[in-house]
Formats: sequence, C-alpha cells, structure tokens
Amino acid sequence: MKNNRYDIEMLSAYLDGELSPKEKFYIEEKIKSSLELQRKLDELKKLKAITSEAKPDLTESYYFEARLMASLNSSESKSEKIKKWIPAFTFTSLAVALIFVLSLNPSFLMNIIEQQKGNLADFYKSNLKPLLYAANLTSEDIFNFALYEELPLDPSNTQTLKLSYDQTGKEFFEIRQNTEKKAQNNLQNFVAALELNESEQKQMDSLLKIYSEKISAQVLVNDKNAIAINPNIWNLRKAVLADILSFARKHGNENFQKIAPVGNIPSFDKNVVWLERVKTTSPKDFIICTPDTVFSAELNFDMAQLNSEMKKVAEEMKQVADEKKKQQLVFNFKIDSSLAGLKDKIKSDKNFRVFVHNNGVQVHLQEINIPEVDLPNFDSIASIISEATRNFTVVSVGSPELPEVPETRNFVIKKEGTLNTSLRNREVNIDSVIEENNKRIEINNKKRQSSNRIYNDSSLNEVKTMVDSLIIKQNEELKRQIEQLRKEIEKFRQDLQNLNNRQKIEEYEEIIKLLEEQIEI
Amino acid sequence: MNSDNKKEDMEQPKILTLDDDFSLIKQFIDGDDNAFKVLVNRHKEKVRNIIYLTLMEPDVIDDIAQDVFITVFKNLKHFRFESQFTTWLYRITVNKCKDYLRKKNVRKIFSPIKDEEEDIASFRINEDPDIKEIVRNAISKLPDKLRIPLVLRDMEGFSYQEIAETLNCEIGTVKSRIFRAREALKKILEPLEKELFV
Repeated sequence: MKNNRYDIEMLSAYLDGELSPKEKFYIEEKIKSSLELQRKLDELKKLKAITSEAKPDLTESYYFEARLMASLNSSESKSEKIKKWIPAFTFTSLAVALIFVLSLNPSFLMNIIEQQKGNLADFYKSNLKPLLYAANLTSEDIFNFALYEELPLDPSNTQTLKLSYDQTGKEFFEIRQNTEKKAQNNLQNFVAALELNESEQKQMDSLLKIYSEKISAQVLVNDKNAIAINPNIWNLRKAVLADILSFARKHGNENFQKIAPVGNIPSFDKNVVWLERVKTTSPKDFIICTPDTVFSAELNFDMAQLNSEMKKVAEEMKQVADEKKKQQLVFNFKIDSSLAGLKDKIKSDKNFRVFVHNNGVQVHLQEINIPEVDLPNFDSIASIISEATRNFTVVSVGSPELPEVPETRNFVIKKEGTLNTSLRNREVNIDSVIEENNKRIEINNKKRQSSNRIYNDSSLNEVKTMVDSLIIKQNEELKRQIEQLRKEIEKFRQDLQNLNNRQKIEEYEEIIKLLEEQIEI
Repeated sequence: MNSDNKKEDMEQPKILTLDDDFSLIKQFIDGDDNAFKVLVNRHKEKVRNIIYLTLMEPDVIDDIAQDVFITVFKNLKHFRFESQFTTWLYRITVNKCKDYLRKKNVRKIFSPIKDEEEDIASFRINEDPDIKEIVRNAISKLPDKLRIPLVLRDMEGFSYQEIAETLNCEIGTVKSRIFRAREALKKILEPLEKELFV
C-alpha cells in the first residue's frame, strides 16, 4: 500500500515532468504493468487539465504604475513612521511604569492625593490672622454672643458668625450678611436690670474683655478668603454665658430672681470661672472654610507671638483714623459668589454638610467633634435662658427715666415735705408717665419683632409665641408697677396725715383721689 | 570640421540599452527611476495573478500588488543578484499574501461565526454551471500550504524548483504538497465527477 502511494505521488510528478530519467523509467515500467496506475494517471491528467483551464482572466489594472508612483512619493520616511508611533509608545511606557510603581507601592496614588490635599490645605492655611481684631469686639458684642450666639465679623457689623445646633444637636455655624440691625444696648439693659454698682459693672466689663481676647483668636482669616474656626468657640460661648449668669446671680441678688422668674438657673457653682476650664482645652484642629472646600486641619502657630502681633495691629489701628486704612491693616472675610460653588464641591464630604443661600453659608459639622469640657448643660436650661434674656430687657424697659414736667400742669407733687417715696424730689405727671411707658413698650415690641424675624415656619411660630409671652410679661410688669405706685400713694397718704396744714392736706387728698382714679383707668 | 565630427562619433560608442531584469535593477540603483517603472510594467500582471490565485479574492489584488512593488522599490538597492529577480519578486508576493491571510485569520477570530461550509454540489442547481468557477471555488477550499504550490504549478506553470525557491522550501516538499493538493481537490470535486471528468 505504501509502495502504491509512493507510486501515485511519483505519478503526479511524472505528469508535471519533474522526475529524473531514472525515476521516469521506473514509473513508466510500473504504468505499463498496472491498470490501476494507468487509471490514476488518467484521472490526474484530467484534474490537471481542469485546474489549468480554471486560471482566471484578470482584467488589466489601469493606472497601476501611476498609483504606485503616487504611493511611493507619499510613502512615509522611517523617521515619520517613528514619529507616528511616539505617542503610543510614550503612553504605553507610562502605563507600564505606572503599573510597575503601583505593584511595588500600592499606596503611591493615595500618598500623592494626600500630599496634594496637604498642599491645598497649606495654601489656605498660610497667613491666617485673627479676624475678630478687625471687628474690634466690644463687651456688648461678647454679651450678645453669649446670649444670641452671634459674633460680628467686621466693625460695621455687616457680616456675622452665627453658632447654632441642628435638630439632632450637632453644631453648625453660619456666616451671613446682616440685613437688619439688631437691638442694641442689651448689656446696658442687663446691667440696669441687675442694678449693678460701678465696681460691679467694671468687673463685668473686665470679664467680657478677657473673653473678647480669647474669642478673637478663635476665628482666623487670610487673603485667600479662607476662614478658620476653632471648634472650641462653641465651648467658649457656653463658658461666657455660664460666667455671665454666675456673675449675675452673685451680684444681682433678688434682681436676678426677677430675671429668671420661671425657675432658678440650675445651681452650677457660681464661684467657678468657666473660662479657666475652656482654656485648658485648645484643639489644634481648625475648621477651615475656603472657596474650594471645607476641611479640618491642624493649625500650629505661636499664639503668644500672634497675640503680640495682633496687639500691635490693634494699636496701629487705634492710631490710624482713616477707616479705609484700617481695613488694609487686617484681612476681611467676604461672602461672595466664590463660596456658592462649595455646595457642589463637597457634597459627599462625611465631615461637613454645606448649605449655601443668598445671604451666606451654613456649615454643618458631621464627624467633627467639639472638645468636651465640663460646662453647665445649657441645652436643658435653654428655655430658662431664653426667658431670662427676654426678662432683663423687659425689666429695663419697665424702668424708664421719669420725665420732668412743669409745675403749672395738673396733678403736681411738689418737692417739699418729708415724703419717703420714689416720687420724692420729682414732679410727676402720671398721664405722661403712663403714656410714655406705653409708647416705649410698643416701640420695643416692634423692634424686637423685626430683629427676630426668621424665615422658616417653625421659627416664625416660635417668634409669635415669644412675642405673645413678651406682651403678657409686659402687662404683668405694668400691673406690678401700678401696684407699686398704689403702695407709694398709700405711704404718701400716711405721711400727709402728719402734716398740720389742713388746707394742704385737703389739696393733696384731692390729688391722691384723682391719681387713684387715673390708675383705675 | 566634418572630419572632427566623424572622429567624435567614432570615439563615443552607442550605449546599449539592456532590458533584462538585472540591467534594469542596476539602472535603478544608478538613479534611473524609469528602470523601476519598466520592471513594474513587465512583472505586474504575473504578480497580480499570483495574488489572485493565492487568495482567490479579486478585491484585494491591486492593493497587495501595490504593496509588493513598494517593498521592492524600498529594497531593490540591496538586491544581491544571487538569484533571479522574479524569484525574489514572487517570494515577496507570496509573503505579502501570507501576511494578508494571517491578518484575515486574526480578524476572523473577532468576527461573528459564519457557516462557511458551502456544498460544492449546490452548483448543480445552477442551470448553467461555470466549471472554471466551480474548480476555482474548490481550489480556494484547499489549505494555503497545498493551494499555493498547486496554483503556481498548474496555473502559472512554475517548475518545482521555482516553487521551492518562492516558498523557501525543499523540492521534495513541493512535490509532496502538489500531490496532496490534487488528492484533496479530487475529493472536493467528487460529487461533480460525472460533469467534470466526462
């Protein structure tokens, strides 16, 4: 069989004329003696014939040479080919290098990102200076901060920093434009309500001044419109409130009771200076709010040196009269359109949630913890404090300066005799007193309503309730004063009985009667 | 004056224009691009035929032929004159065809699977069967290794020696492959034996 196949293969070459003479002789001999080989040869001949005939007739290719020459002229040189592959080669090399580096150091990219974050943080952290020196905080400002959690960020009080707590009790701060002026003289009213003497007033002032310096260093700004806030400011606010209340209770005596009629402020130790407790905790991590991001970063600087520098600035500012030059000495934080992008930029940040509105920016602290300091729990007595802050305003409003009236008017009490009343040494027109008092109450009500205007529904309800309770409180106060006036008249009457002048007595009796009628009305 | 002219004619013998391949190549190397054009013109149809017979795809003939001559143009200066120009040219042609087939096979891997098994017998349905077409179709079914030596031999009339040089293999291999190609072709055409071999 093998020989047979060899013969057939030789038969194929024989047909093509490719055998040597010896092979040719061999196969021809075989063909003569083998019918099968003869038949096979016949088949191969036919196959070869049809294969040869199957050769296609190709149509001529026109312009073949012309096309070829054009291709040759436009064909790229080697250098051009290399140039074409350079970008691909470069990218491939970079990819391979990156894979290699990442396989050796998987945290490579993360390190770069962290480094870039650090660089960004450094950029915004540089040159931070206390903002509140610029605001030139007064005792009134600190007092308002304690009570209303708001700090002015500039001398003209156009921007404020508001500290607050959300529904879950987490802290948030808000930097906003002041569209309305707040009621002023709260501290003055408070002092008047407590009837503090001069020395006590000085003590109060010095207490607030210490806080003023301390609070000033908690809010820093720089020329990149970055603002850094130390989380300890929430504690400082609690401390200053605690110290003010302690002071009020210590020095205000029964007047303090008037301020807090709903119930006493819980008995935290009134001898403790709460500032000292807050001083011991000074977190280095500031919350830094920039036009690009909000982040928490450690700020290390020499506070003593900074303070001395700032004192210099403050002194310079005192010497410079021109307001514009004053502004140049310090940085100002500007709420501008660049902050509007913050909302989108840090949407997914776990530490902060940012709300940007027309009037400013709200930054809610999510994962950032305020350092825990042993301070009175103001949350539980928030309502009492709220009541107290309203009360001292009412008390001060209810003790007006009594107007001087000419003797020619009716119902005149002359400055003579041994009268031992608050009306002594005064000529009072009761009509005008009551009228004046009512006017003041009305004006103050309006002021308070406008200053407390808040925009959401729940707050609006709260304000309504507050205004209602205020009116009730004022009416009560008026009643109390009328009652006091009655007592005075009674005393006056008793004093009159000691007088010998009958005609005078009758005259005063008539006046008293009229006074009583007026009170009834 | 006239005698001087005659002298010059005597001293400057006429340059014979050699049109064999080697001479043309030398002229090309000496900077005569026209010599290359003559070479192209002389061999283009053979090259195109080989491409067609090797690939059985009329659409790609000219592109591959252009590619062949571009390669020849770029490498002609390095021609060693050790073998015939045609042997070198056909080897380049076959190699270009093989490159094309290789790329085509790679493309096939990524293209949807098609049923390529066409029954040769289906040509019977045609009322006027073109026997040449049937045979070419049958040849195209042969593996490259068998098809190329067969077509070079039976269609282009290459000797076994030329085929061996073009395909860069032994004569014995060529002999064996041509025999196997014929055996395979016969088997493919078996259903049409009566029509074809009468």
